[in-house]
Amino acid sequence: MIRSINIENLRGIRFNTNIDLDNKSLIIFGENGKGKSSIVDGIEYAITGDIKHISSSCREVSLKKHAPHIYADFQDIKVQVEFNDGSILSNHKEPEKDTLAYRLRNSDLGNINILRRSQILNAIFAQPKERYDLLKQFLPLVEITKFENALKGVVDKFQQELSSLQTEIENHKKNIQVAFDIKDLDSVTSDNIISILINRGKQFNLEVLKDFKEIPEYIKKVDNYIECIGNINQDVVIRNLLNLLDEVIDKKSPEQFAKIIFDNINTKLDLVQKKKVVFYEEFLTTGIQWLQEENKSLCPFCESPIDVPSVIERVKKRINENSEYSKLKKEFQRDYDILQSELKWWEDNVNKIRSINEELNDENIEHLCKTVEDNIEGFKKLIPKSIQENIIKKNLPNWNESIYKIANHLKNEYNNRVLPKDTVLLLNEIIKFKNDLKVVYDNFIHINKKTKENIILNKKYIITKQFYEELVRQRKNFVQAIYNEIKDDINRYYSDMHPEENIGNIDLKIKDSSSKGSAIIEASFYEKNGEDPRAYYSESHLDTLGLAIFLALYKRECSKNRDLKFLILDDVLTSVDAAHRINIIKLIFSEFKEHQLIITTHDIVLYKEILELEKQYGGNNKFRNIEICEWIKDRGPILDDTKSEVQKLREHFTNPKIDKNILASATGTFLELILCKLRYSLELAIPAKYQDKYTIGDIWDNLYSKLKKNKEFYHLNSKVLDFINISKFIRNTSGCHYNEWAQGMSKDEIKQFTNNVIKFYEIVYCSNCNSFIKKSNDNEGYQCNCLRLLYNKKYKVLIS
Amino acid sequence: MDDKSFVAEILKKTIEKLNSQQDWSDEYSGIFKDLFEQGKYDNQEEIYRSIRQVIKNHDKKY
Repeated sequence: MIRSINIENLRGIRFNTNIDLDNKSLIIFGENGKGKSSIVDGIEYAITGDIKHISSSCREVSLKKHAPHIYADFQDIKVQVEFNDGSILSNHKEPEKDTLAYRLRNSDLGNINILRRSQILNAIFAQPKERYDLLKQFLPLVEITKFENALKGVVDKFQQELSSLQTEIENHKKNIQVAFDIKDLDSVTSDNIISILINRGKQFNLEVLKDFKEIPEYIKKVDNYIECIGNINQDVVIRNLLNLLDEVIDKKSPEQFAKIIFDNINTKLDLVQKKKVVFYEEFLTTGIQWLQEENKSLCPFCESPIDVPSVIERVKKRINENSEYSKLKKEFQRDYDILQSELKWWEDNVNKIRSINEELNDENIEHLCKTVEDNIEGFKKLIPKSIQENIIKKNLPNWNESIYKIANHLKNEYNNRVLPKDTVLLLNEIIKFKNDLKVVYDNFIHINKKTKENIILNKKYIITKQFYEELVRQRKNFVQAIYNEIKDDINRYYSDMHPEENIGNIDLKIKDSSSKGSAIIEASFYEKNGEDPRAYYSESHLDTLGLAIFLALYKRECSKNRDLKFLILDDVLTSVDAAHRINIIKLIFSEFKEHQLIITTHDIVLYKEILELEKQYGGNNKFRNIEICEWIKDRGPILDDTKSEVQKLREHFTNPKIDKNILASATGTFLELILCKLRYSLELAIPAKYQDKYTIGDIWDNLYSKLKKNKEFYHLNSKVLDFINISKFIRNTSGCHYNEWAQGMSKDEIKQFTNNVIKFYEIVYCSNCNSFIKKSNDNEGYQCNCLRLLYNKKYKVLIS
Repeated sequence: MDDKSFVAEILKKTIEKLNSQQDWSDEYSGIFKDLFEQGKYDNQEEIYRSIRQVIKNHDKKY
């Protein structure tokens, strides 16, 4: 049971808000936005260290950022809940061991005793899996979920390993499939491949292959067979040589390309003239560039001003007059490039032939290569590299005709050494057979190894999967058993909430196909049975269904944990009509009569109904009522617990059948309440008492003497004050303890006492601004917040 | 029933059910029983390692 609650700097609460419950249930009324839920948040935060609807809301909303009051920081939050054993749960101090607070903090209860309307709707409208997650907090599923998750992780890991192993095996099979040109991968089996290899071996009269293990030895036999037929490698080399020799024989001599160059230049230009022309042309071209790029305006020779565009035009004209020589220069370059390319061809071919000769090691071939190289060298020396060179004096080089003769001789010789076509075909086939044998052997070694691994891995996978699936099945059975366990309570609650309505038969079921959890709700609606209630039920019927499920789960949790004795319902009856909510309140008050209830509502009618019902379930001894008069941004909710109490007292006062002792007790309790409020508002100097438990005597004398000093106040209210001063003993004689002497007090005397206490309340409490009188700003008197009550020397007393 | 007792109950039922099946060996149940007793039942690596080890030993034996 909770004794008191203190909240500061949390959500809508700025200044310390203290609520003394004294183990009573608490009913809070406040309009929307007045801070009711902030009080519930404070209790939740003190007990669990979390405010679930904030921390699990969305990524943008966090406890650290959004739990503090808007003018406070996270570290400024102070929440504290004191329990009936004196132990405390707070956000800044760990509870002492072996206390109720300690047990609650370490019980992993979470916020299972707190229900907000949004939770009801979430639970009802969620999908089965999400609904299961919401219900999970009521079920002992934390550890089993960890077990299942770890097992699922292992199942997935084995499955992944199996999959990659199977891919490897498949890739090895594909290698064989490609080599043997097999259409269907499934046909790549040991039997099929052995059969193919046996048939192919038969073509070459090789003995029958029995097993893949024999392949290395079998390949040696194939090699022997190939060697007997002929040297295919050498045959390939000779055929390449013959191709190169054919190219040499067909190739034109480079001499004719050199001749073109010589003829062209020598017939068209003598050396002296050519030199001049070339120099002159280059001089003019460079001159134009110089004039344009350097932006010159003077003649470089005489330094006289010149008209540059005109000079450039004249120079270009002169260059064109010499265009014949330019053309000649281009022709030379073209013919020179052709010749160089021809010589390059000869160089490349010599390199290829020499490379082949590394296999054949034939002197005549080397002689051919050397001869060609010498000729290339001679050409390179004699051919001019540019038109400027003195080519007239050079002789035209000769290309040695013996090159062609040697090539023809070699061709004839090696033509006789090539293998016949049929032999080559046979050899190619048997070489392919040999390669295929290698492919089969290499891949089947891996396939066999991986297949063995696959069998073992599959075993591990199956065991884990089988165990995981059975564990999930058993967990579902257990959860279903819990659902069945609470089914009767749910239906009883629902039937109490909706008596004589043709609905109910609620059933919670776990989905068979889901590996994770799920919670399916089924209910009946007239003749329709086993239906999803969302299909037929009204919003308020769905709300009450959620509430019934929650209450049943809460009750089950309470049976397991005896420390759980307080239930918090935050504005959960919003959508429910008057008749139904009375049923619900009655149900909660009777079903959880041993529990401390904290119920908030924004509905004044519901609040009044609850106050009325309280009388049947323990009245003042069991319930405490608080109205939130207003909410101030930089203060928080302004609580008032006197309005409902004075109303009750007035009802007692007007009730002719009321027992005089009950009336005396209620009056005394109410007077104590007023005095405690005035102690703070008038800043009375009262010696502190343990747990703020003051009696009338503790405060009254101090207050009476203080109020008497204010002449305006005393003048107006002396009758009331003096009467209470002499009658306050009634509280102790008739209201609290049995006292033979006090039995002589008449009911009228007690009623007079009650009447004066109510009057005193009206003197010190302003119903307009919902505040008790306090010291006025000038310290000269007393006033309420709105100044409707003003007791001051300077002003007359105002009571509108 | 607290969360751990709940796991113990479910584990017991699971093992009972599997042990009654022909293709299941008590040795396999032992893996998970041991893991639970050692408090390692929620550790993926430990489960993986234990299963590998038991199958290896099992294959050597048979």
